[in-house]
Amino acid sequence: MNRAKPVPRVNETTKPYWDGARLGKLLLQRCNACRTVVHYPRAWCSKCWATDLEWIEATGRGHVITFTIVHQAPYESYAADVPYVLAVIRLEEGPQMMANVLGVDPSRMRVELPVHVVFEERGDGFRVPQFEPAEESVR
Amino acid sequence: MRNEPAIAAANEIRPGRYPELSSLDLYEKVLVEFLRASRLDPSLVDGFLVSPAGMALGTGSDIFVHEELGDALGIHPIFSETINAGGATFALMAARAAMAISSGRANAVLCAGAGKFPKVGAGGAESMARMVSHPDFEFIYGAFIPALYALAATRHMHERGTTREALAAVAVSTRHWALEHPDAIMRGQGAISIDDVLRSRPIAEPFHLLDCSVPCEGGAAFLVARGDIARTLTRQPAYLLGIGEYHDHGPISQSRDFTSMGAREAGRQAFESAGLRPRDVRVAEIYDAFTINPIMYLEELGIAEPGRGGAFFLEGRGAPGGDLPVNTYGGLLSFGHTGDSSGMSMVIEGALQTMGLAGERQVASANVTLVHTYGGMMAEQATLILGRKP
Repeated sequence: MNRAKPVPRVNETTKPYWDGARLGKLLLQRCNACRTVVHYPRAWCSKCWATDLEWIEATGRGHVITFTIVHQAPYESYAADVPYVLAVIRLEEGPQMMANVLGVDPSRMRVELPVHVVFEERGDGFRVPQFEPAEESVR
Repeated sequence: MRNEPAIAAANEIRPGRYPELSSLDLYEKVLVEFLRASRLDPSLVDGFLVSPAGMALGTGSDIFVHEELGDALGIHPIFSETINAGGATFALMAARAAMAISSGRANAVLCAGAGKFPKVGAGGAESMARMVSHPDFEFIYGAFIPALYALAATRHMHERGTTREALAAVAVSTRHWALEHPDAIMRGQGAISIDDVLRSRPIAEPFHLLDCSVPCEGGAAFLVARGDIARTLTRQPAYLLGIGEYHDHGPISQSRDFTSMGAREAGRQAFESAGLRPRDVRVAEIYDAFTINPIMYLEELGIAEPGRGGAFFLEGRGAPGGDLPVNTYGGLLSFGHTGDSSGMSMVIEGALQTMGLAGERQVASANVTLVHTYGGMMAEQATLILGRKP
């Protein structure tokens, strides 16, 4: 657990997402009108502007679209982690999200790497979605 | 464009650190230097566009700059506001001014910007990271500016075969130009080699220190005027022939295409409105916060084939003596990145080159100049095409 790392602000729209993460679930919104899956959470569907969305549990599987290996942390709570991997993941359900890829040998990181979600504990009881390689060989 | 809008005066202050000046003090310096250089008659000016003051400092922005400075200048414009689209702000000022002049709403629009830049080491990286990334879905993962741009570079290398050496070649080419600009921050540092870039310390791979622009402070002002007015102010105005604009993602993790970011569409609009093609361009001034940017935008704007942007720089085509000079003032990489006014530098240089006022670095054939800027984390794109004939 890293209590010092940043935690998100929570509002009415994002609360189910962070509540889900506390329970080890990656939740996404799905539009009840056009079935588009939306992430980050919002009050409307970004495709059809319908305002009726439901929460679904994602499989947690995805792949890396792009990444960087960070050697100079922007703030103190990440300083001990360098070199760390910052990546954009495309989830099986379609949406993209930013996260760190944990438990990977940075020299074996690659675009298209299959990953699955894990949850990292932070302060105030927050658990934050992160990703790990689906393949043993790059850990 | 109707009424032949053109940049008729342009002046940028020397980039540097101005710790004794507040954001508004810096604006005053920008304007007094512009007025001294242009000798403008205030009664000509009926439009005034400025950007917020103090944005990059993360201490709250002044968004009433057009009121404060308009009053100080003693003008009562019929077209005026404080506008912001990050680094794209100033090309969009030129575009907004051109549209106002073209539609008969204004005759001469003064555009200005001044930028501070926090010290990266003293909490500046964190405060800027909070501003440019999504605070709840990006910032919490250790995101910061070089890392967010590195995401575009990695994808470009994967998809289009761009090499680490090609990124370095952009820094090398741009430094050569800085050696010819008396105000460029890195002029005194001399030329650099690809090896120098590769050996500088890694920041966020693939970027090393010399792949990153140099934080500093500065600002500039320019006047866009109706063609007949512009011709009374200068021998060779820089006519605004084409403008393009496209607003893509917000947080960069939501970009649908990391190799384009919407620049292709902005470029298409600009060339179409100018009635010109990419091969007509003689000089290109492209926003370059990091070395990947000129490569990706030359490709997206149609000047280099997809996957050939890196080779363009490795072959020296954008450097002094090359067939298509790029970032002739030294770029943000070596002239300096003046915080929230950084998007001014390529507009000013594009205007000076087109007007034939670029001094020792003047490109003789600068009949058609392309200026491409973006704001946010490559979120919004603005393209200008400037020319010597209306």
